[in-house]
Amino acid sequence: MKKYVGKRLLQLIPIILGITLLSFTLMQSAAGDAVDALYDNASGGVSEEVKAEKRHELGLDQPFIIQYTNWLGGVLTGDMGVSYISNKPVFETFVSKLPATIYLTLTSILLTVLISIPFGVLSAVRHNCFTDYLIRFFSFIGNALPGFFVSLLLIYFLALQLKLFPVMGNGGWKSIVLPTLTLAIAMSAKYTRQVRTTVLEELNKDYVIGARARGIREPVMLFASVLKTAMLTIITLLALSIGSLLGGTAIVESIFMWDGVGKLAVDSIMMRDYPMIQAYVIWMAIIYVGVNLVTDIIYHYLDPRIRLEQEG
Amino acid sequence: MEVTERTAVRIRTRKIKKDQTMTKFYLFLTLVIILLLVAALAPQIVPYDPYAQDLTQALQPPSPEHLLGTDRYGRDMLSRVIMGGQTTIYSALLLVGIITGFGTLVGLFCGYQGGKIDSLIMRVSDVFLAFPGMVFAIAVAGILGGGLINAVVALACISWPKFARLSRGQVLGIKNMPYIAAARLSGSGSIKIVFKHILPNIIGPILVTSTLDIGTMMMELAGLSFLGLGAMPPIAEWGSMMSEGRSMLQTSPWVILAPGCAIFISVTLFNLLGDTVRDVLDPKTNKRKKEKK
Amino acid sequence: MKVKNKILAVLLTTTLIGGMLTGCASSTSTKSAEEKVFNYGTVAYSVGNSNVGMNPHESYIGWSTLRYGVGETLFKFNEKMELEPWLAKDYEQIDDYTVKINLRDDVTFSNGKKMTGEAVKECFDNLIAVHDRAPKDLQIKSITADGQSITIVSDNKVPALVNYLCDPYGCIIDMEAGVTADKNVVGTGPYVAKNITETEINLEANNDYWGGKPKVGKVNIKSIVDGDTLTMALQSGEIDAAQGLPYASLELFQNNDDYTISSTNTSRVYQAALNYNSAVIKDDAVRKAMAMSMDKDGFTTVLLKGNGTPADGPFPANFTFGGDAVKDTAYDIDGAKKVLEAAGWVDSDGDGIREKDGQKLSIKWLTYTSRQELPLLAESVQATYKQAGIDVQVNATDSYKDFLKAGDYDVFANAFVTAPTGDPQYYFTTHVVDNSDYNRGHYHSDKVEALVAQLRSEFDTEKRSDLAVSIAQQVLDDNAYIYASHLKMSFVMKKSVTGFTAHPSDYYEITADLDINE
Repeated sequence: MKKYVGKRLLQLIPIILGITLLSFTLMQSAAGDAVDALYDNASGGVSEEVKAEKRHELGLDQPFIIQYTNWLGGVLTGDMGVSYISNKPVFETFVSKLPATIYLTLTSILLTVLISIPFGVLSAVRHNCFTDYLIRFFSFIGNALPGFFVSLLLIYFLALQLKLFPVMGNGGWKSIVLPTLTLAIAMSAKYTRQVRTTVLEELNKDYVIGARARGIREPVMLFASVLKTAMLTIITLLALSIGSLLGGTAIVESIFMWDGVGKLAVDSIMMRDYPMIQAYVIWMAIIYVGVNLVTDIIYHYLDPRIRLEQEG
Repeated sequence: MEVTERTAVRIRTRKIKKDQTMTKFYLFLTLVIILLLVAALAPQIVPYDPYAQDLTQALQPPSPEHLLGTDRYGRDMLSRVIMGGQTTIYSALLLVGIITGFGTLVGLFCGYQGGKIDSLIMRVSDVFLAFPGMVFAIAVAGILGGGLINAVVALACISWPKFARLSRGQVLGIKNMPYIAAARLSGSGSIKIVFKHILPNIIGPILVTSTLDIGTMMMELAGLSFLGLGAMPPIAEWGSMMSEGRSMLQTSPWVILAPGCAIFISVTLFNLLGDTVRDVLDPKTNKRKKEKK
Repeated sequence: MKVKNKILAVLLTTTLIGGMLTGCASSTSTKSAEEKVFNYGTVAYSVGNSNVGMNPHESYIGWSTLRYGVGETLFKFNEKMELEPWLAKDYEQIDDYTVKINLRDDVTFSNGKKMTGEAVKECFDNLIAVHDRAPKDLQIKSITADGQSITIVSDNKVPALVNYLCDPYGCIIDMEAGVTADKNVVGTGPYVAKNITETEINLEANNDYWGGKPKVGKVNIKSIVDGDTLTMALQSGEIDAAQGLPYASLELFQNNDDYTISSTNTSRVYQAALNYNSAVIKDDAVRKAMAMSMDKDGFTTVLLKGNGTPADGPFPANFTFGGDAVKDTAYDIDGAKKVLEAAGWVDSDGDGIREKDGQKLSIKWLTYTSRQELPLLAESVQATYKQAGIDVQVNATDSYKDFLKAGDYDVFANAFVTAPTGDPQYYFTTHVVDNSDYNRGHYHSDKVEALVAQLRSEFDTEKRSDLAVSIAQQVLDDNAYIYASHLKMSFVMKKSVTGFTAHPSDYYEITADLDINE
């Protein structure tokens, strides 16, 4: 077990190096000039000397490799530079906004689980019945509407017409409902189908057919064996979805004025605030890789078959 | 006695189900083909020039003259939705084609060849997979500048590893099967083995995934358009038409609902087709059936 | 923090319920000033606009200081963009390089300290020491303080010095109190910032304000950059007023008795700079035809839904040197066709686009999307130019600066505040003279150079105004810039809100006049 974890951790190093190099190269090759952006976004002119000075101050006039190693050294020590726009330390800004995004991610996953597992199981058990068709119908709808459109409709109906929730709110529990719903609708639509497929597959396995033949009651069987086995797959899927969720929060956070890292990223991209974008991309990637690792380890721990396969 | 009866019933229902699946498959295939035809013939069938502005006719609600109303430039929405179908659907198809083709080739190569190059390429794909997709696409599109082509390139960059992974896994699964070894013994070259013996056996799941991906890609393109990184004005494209009209949801809802429904219908159609293709091709059910026989 | 909030919420609820049980005697009467809270949603406050904080001596933060009533300047603009005294009583131009400003005697900072000449001097000394734009604008050599007056000596002739002091960076703050870590300052205005974040500012009334006690106790400035969210937040009542609503949403509040709208013309112009470095644009006939083919009226009335005025020149009608003081080319597609034909541009291959010497009449129109009007202008132009036989390739991108640098454009369309200080010189020195910062069209005219030189050293307001008209007219005659429309800025508020008006300068928003009558 320890050996496996150690091996996986070692494998992370090249991946993380690759991520940093790729994102750094990308941001650098963006021909856009951050200093111009810095001085040009409202009225008022600044001389080229002032700009050159600023470039020097930010180290933008140095060769690529030096900029990269400087920056990588900074990353390792938790110093990712200063935002070109707000002049605040990037890492601190990022960390200060991370809890809001994690909060939103967790509520969305929770809601997704609460929606997709019961409906997915129901859909599988009532395979090809009316309930199944209805659930699948809704999951198709949820799957085929762009997130920004869903959020607009939700705001319009739930906040404006029914006045159930605030449009943006002031940080109370109610203000998280709409962004959570937006994210959970798209995810649930996807995962209800996944859960349905997984459970169906499980239900068609020989042991279930055998159990059925032995006269074991359907609910007992469902909860005792089928769900337990299916859960493994579902947990993996959910863990993997954290990555897409973290990315998906960007648009939703912007619309709902949710002050998390997603909104920070969109704002930074629009402002070409490179240090901020880099921090976002890298930390998101690291979080994602980390979550995957933990999932793998849990999976590994829970399922002895895989353990044998991988260690053998 | 009872058991045999049950089996008989099960076999019969399975047969009916199989027929049903085929019917569904043909139905959705027909609908998708109609959709593709409409998109392909768009320039011929639009009732008005989708780019002709007439500011005096701006934001007219749906009427017999303009079935889906007009947008703020006075352009006919129906014509723009039809024309937008061409842009949107074909760019999604192009995108899926690129990532399926490229990803599968990489996967075939890595799976069959193995060794250091395989692990290197897989690490590279790990790096791509490690990025939150949309973030990376936004960054790439931001760098390349807006535009539909660039958005397609951006999404292609992050989506190919999925297919590489998928096909590599499939190749690994059958690479050591006796018939491959037999082919190798009979003197077939690597290229021939890969394309003649391996590819046909793994194409099923790849096709299913790529059909299901068409819808996803349409939505992601729409997301990029929403951020102003997709299609450029005045090109009719559903995603950008929606984001352009979004502030009119309350005042002139048809401007956003028309392309919204168009996206919804086409994504749903492609998803349904993908699902039935899976039912038709599903190796597991087929295998089980064979075993039973 | 969270727990505290919860306890607070519970307490509040209990008091509320308690209040309801013990009778509603006070709830029918009007609220006292302390109880009134004004929630204001704006698109203008954001990290992206470089105005987060309250320290006027940094970047564009002064806009927030001034807009939200924390800081005030020595002079201010009236509705006609003419100078009026504010913290100062008056000024004397002693000679071309020296100006003496007399300050009011009754002004105190919000911490109770008196605003003296010495305090103002300290503030300006710091401004020119640390700010990026102010030293260049003001060209200050020295400042001396004497009781309630200061004397400023400049390095060069700066006829618009007093106008420049009205720029938001000219807000007077108490330098002894300094600047806090969250960029808060002590100003002289009716409100004091209690809490500043990147998305919200919480203000409280400065009850000892020299201009009288503010009528509303608390003001919350909320940054809402998404137009739809802003619209619906106003509709749902979460905010009391909004600035920067999308044009399509304004309709919802017009002719609606629950809301009032305050609108004003600003000097923000949507303009197109024609790039003289481009071979096609160099052709006088092409530029003329382009000017003739822009449907300014259609753009303003239909696409901006009337929230703007078609522009003649760079300055709007509320300036003496603006509006129809200059004459622009009329919208005339047929005329444009004739101009092009006469110059040899004809459509020989029948694709609707004219050619000359094998060169297609196709222009690259560079613009950006962060101002919602610009893509509209681009698309509108694309359609009308096509009628005249000119093909337009729109490149609307937020990385437009890269294209500007590369010179890869025939036209650059942008939005610009042409007279932020009420004076015309700033626009000309940044846009039309050789090598000026924003001369994106590389326009050069000997006549304009000479006139601008004259403007730089002319102190007489009327003569300055005449010079401005001549320069603008020359630019128009050369068709170097095409001015589409001036922005009309609107504040939409609940009917109960009073004393909240849009100002042509875009500087003053929250004042002591703000009130809510429920």
